[in-house]
Amino acid sequence: MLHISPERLAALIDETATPDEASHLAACATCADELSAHRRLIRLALGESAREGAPLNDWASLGAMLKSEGIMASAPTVATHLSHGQRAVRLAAGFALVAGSALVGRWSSGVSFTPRQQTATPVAAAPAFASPQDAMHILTVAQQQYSDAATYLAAQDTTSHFIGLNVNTYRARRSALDNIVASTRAALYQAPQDPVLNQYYLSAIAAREATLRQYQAALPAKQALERY
Amino acid sequence: MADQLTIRRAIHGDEAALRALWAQYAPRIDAVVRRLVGDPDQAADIAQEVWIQIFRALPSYRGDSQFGTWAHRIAVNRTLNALRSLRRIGKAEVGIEEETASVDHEGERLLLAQTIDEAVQKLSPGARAVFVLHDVEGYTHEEIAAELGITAGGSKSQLFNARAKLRTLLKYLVDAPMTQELSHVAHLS
Repeated sequence: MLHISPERLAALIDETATPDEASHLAACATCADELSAHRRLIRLALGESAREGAPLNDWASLGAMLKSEGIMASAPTVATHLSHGQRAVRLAAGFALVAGSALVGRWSSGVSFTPRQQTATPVAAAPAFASPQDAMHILTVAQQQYSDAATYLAAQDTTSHFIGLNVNTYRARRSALDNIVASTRAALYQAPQDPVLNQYYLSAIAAREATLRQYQAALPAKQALERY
Repeated sequence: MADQLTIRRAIHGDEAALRALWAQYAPRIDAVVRRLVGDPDQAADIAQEVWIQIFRALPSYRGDSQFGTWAHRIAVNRTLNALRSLRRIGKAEVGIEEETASVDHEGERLLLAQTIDEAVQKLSPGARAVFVLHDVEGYTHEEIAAELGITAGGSKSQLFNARAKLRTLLKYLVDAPMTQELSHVAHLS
């Protein structure tokens, strides 16, 4: 039998040799060596898969492209394009986050919470936790504190006296908040530890409760809500 | 591994998050672009398109696979599309260029490659794509066929031709196994 062709030897890395090829390989040192060389080539190729290199571009040029494509937002651009509604939501979320941070800071430092004395001071540094369980416990307590504080703050909202909020307004707000609670709750089934989702969920729950209280207060006495 | 929070921030256009994802995955993603494209300047242009595509597709990332795996698939797909649009890979099954398919002994030293990366660049674009996808990236012939618009049989045929050529180009790297293997054994003992 003639020597096995290079292409066929290359194929024998993946395929089984025919009986003729197998007997030839057993008898022919040249073809056997060639097959070994092909195996070494494949090992070299496999080693390439883990090899990394320097990025082909720098961030400055890629970032500029991402901005021009509208994929990357720079902070000032985003702010100038916010609608009044979006701006209000962002302000509210920012206020809630800062208030929440302040609560966590006060709680973790052992200072009792007094609503009249609160200051919006962000937590300066992440506290150290003894264990994941310890962190989870603190997270659970902080979430409850956050929820309570947000409810309290929402209840202090006195703007309704000045801008003429009425039962219809509260009903519309409650409906919107119901949707937010439902969608964030559904998302939390997928990502239960996501802090952003948790914050939005808890804020919406608290705002919904406060709205229901305001709604009840605005209703005539005989139409009082029996349950929230 | 990219965390979900970074990805969410990136989806909303947060520069720090986008940059963090790029910094973490560019060494691997750009390496596969470089291997598939060959030409360094074209590879840089295509890598930029690849990253724009990855970030544009971020909202569709469901987290079913690792972010790196997901991004890698986009990179391969986008690179092959770019090469196709440059007519470097046609729908038709492209064979190895005949003029470089064999290595004659006179010009042997000039044509031989010092590294597998260098040798791969001497393959035709079609053969290079098949070899890189199968032997380096671990794609099956069916997956390659779908990516390149060829048949699985065509993919096999190109792969075996590419291996045969690489074996010749890398003669000094894959020959003389006794010395290398004995040296390796000596290191182990």
